[in-house]
Amino acid sequence: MLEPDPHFAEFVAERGDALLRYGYVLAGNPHDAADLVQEALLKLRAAWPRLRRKENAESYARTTMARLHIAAWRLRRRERLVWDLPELEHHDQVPDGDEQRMWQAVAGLPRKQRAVLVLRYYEQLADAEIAAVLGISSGTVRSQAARALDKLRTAIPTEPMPRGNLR
Amino acid sequence: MNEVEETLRRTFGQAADQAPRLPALLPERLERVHRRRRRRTRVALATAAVVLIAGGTVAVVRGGDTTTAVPAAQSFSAKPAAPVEEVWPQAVEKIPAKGPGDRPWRAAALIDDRTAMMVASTADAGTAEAVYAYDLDKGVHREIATMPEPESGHGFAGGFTVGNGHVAWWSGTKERVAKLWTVPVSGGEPKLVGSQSIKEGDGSGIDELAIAGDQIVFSLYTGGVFTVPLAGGTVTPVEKGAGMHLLAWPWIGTPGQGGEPHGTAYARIQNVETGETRTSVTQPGENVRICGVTICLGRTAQGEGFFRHRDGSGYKAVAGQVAMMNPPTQDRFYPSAYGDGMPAGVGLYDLDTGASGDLGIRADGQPIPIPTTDPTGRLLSYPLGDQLYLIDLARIR
Repeated sequence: MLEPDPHFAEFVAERGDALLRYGYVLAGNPHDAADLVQEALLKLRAAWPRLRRKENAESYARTTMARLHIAAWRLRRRERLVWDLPELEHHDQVPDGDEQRMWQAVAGLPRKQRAVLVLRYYEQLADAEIAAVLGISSGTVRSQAARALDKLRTAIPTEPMPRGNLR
Repeated sequence: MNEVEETLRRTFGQAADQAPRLPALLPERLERVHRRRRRRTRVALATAAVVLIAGGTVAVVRGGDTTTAVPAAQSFSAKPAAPVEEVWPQAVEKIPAKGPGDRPWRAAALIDDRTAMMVASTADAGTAEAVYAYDLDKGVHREIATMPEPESGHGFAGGFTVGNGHVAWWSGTKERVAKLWTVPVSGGEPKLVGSQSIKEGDGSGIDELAIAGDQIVFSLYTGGVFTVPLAGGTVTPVEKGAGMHLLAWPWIGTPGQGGEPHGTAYARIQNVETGETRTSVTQPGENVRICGVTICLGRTAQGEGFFRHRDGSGYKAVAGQVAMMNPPTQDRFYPSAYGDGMPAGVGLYDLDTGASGDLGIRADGQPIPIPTTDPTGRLLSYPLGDQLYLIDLARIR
């Protein structure tokens, strides 16, 4: 029998939740996030024996997730989810009004634009790094980001709405 | 950062905290799914090219099923100054990338100096359908054999090799049996000459297959070297071949390339005809990835790539990263990616003379395919546009 790789198991145990948080920000819902993480980890598992530098494993998984997400890979999915999510303690709202409106506005963006924003403002990557992760040019990163930010500006009032108690 | 950007950053940060948690048993479940997928795809991988992905990950892929990896600032080999056909014009042939019926074909080996063995596949699944002899001087082909239908339970064919007037290959069945086939180069019906259970291990099947004299020699991904007569007969384990892999007959070695990371591939080899054994030398801190009969590829503790003789002599530093699934062919040539930070193209490099030629393969920001040689290590072949390049390394002196 092929032995499970203890280092891979360790990696999943240590970094799995962080990947799922990233997946959640990328996909916008827990089920797609779980799908993304599973698929990326399976690809990572397949590449594991040939990953020369294990410290790259997490970047590998994150890059795979971003690319899978924009490729709308679910259409080609080969496996059912290996876990179900009913037991998760999930609160479907982001606490504050501003953030909640933003979260909903982001949900209306095309996948690629959303991925660019997540990589820029959640992963804190530079445009050149985002270009490399997504396999697109830096120019495309900038134009996609600009377009997405424009949409968000339109969707969300820049100034907070006055709500009483104003002097 | 303006206000929208600031809100976005805050939103993502808070949203991340709302994500569910992973189940505790996930690693075990992933291993199970991984093994299942691997069994399904491995059999068809025999003919795949190596793909180098930016950031130092090498994966074997089939068809369009690529793996992506992190791009990182990293040095690669130096860009060759000229195309391979200008550097070694005597070695390079170009033929159409599609054969009869407009099906893609690839050059699997050389039958003789001027005849290539071609394997034609279905365009979609890449399933081998027929084998041809291609006359490089006249530019004409002749059919050697049509593959038995996969539907008849024989599975996909792979591991094509030629020698002693015969073509040999294997196919895996759903019942996890590897079937070994031959056909005379002059043409005919494929003949089933033997079978070997591949139920052990992950069911990946045969990792190396060659013709040696009047026998087929092969090894399993999980280890074990066997022979079967070309004329048909019993599959026999090679003495001292348990757990070993075919390297270049009569040399076999261990560990093989499959499975988990386990140190230098082919660190210990044995000549099954003379009994001579050789073990590779590794200095503390360095990582020797793979050895051929004579030459090993490794990296120093400082990350410098090198080629070196198995006995530790003949150190040669190489610039950048070399992605190799096989040892340098003829202990001399290796294909590698070049580029600045990201792989941009693929070159062919000669360790002996330092010469190099550009293969013409471009990355375009995608994983870059690096061609592998045929099992004899003599022929390097790859498609480029509507042409198939054939490089006969034996013609480079």
